[in-house]
Amino acid sequence: MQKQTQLTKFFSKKAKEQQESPIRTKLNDFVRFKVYIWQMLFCTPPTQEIQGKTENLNAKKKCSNNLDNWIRKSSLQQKKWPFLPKNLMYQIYKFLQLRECATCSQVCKFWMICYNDIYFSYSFFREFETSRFNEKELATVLKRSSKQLKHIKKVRDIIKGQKISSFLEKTELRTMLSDNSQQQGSLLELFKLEPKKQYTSVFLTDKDLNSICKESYKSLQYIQLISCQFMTGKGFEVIGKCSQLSLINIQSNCNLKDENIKIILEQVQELKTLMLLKCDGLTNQVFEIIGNHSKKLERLDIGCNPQLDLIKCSPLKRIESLQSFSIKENIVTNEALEIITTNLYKLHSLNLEGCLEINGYSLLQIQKLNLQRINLKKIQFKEEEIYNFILNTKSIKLLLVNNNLLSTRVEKIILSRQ
Amino acid sequence: MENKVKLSTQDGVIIEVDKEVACKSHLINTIIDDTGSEEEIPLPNVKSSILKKVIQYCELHRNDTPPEIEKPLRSNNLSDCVEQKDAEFIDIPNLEELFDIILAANYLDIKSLLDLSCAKVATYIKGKTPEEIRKTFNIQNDLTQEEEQQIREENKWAEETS
Repeated sequence: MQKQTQLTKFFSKKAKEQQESPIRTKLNDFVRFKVYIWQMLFCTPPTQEIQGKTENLNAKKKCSNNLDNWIRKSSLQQKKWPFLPKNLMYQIYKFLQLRECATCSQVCKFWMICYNDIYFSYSFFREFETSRFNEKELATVLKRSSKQLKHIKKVRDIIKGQKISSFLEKTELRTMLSDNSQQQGSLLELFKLEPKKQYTSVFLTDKDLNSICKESYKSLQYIQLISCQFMTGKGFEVIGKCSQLSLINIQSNCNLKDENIKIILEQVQELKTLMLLKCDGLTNQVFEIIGNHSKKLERLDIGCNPQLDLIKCSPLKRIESLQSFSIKENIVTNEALEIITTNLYKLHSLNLEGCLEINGYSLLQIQKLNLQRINLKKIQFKEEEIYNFILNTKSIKLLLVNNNLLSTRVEKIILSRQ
Repeated sequence: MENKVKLSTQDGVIIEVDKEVACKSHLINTIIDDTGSEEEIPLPNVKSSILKKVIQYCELHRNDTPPEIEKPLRSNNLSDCVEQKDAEFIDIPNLEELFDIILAANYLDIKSLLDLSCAKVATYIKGKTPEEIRKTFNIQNDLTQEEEQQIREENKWAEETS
């Protein structure tokens, strides 16, 4: 914008200079040229997507060519189809139902191309508001989109945070998706491409995971299965085949049971990080299982599982290597904290974010640990308490608390340690 | 004089409009903001007959902004979906003219008119078979038999639900 204003100022100045000159026609030309520039800058000719909106003079020459081309083309288009450029066809499709758009694709080549392009464009999903699709339509969108890898990513982005999960729960859609081998294929591709990255694979099924693990059981090091609502508890057991895994992250799945975890952990010996957030199906048994089988575990996150009673977590002391423990958003009584501090005295990092039972007395307990990092966000303390805590726990290098508790004297101590 | 703007069209006609009305076009608004309204504004992409129609629309909405049109359209009859005056305005039997209005609305950047005219075209499509659509819009079917077969295969679901 800045550049554009400067540009116009420049032109206005030029225009004024010209005004003083006797040659009137020249001025007219110039004003026309100026307007032309404006039109190019602010009204993109319909067929072109001009990238260089904010770029300066060089880009302008290109734009003017584009504009000329468009005018020439559009006058040609007066004679026969396509009358309208693609982006305007899209404006029309917007007012139709998805299946009516599908009918349009059978009209002629140009309409078909428009339909296909539209189908795969990001704006399509945004503008068509996926929520208004019926089940079958949504299934078709997902199936079609999954033919190309990049689109599945788009679908994924769009699905995130929308109410589509309720659609997906309906069985018909589920079978439609899982029966489509192409869909599976691209899910697999996606998985191979981004094995380390977190992704929300809402429509992954037991069958998919089975083939993923079969294909790459030797190489897979990280597996993150978040919000996979179609997975049964038993389906997760196949993860155990991947003996090289060092990270397992299963989040938001109510089907996962203790015995499934047991089968996985019995086979995966090298596991260093285990995250089981929001798994309602787990019981206190899980501590015993983890303590018995994951001897090399360094990081354990069982946050957001308020059903777990941390008083029962003592079996975890069998894990010599455990350094980091996260129990955020869980119910942590002072009694439970006592168990943690006496049994897990080797911890370096403790995450207690949102554990509202924690109070000033708990801090005295935590002091016994040689913690380097602690997360106490979303918990209310007095500033005095935090100050004393940090003063007495000499090892703390990283402290996360609510902002109002970070007084200058607390910050000073932390900074001096870093 | 100050409240008028001169617009010169593709075919060299100069049309004088109230500034307030002309500024319904985002493009014109931007130009006036920058260069003032003394000079005539060239609109090389718009024919005078179409520009007159567009101005007529802007006059209709001189004092209001039309509400968004519901998507997808509820019915084939546009008066069920938009204000009566808009429905009457866009009731243009000549398709070529309608397309010209779409192009002009897009070029002049008048979103509500673009939506209205596109919705009108959509009503011509709604509920029709491909053959009927071709007839309406006078389109040659240039799809090969294989292509057609393939599309039909892909669109099976659409036929099932209709």
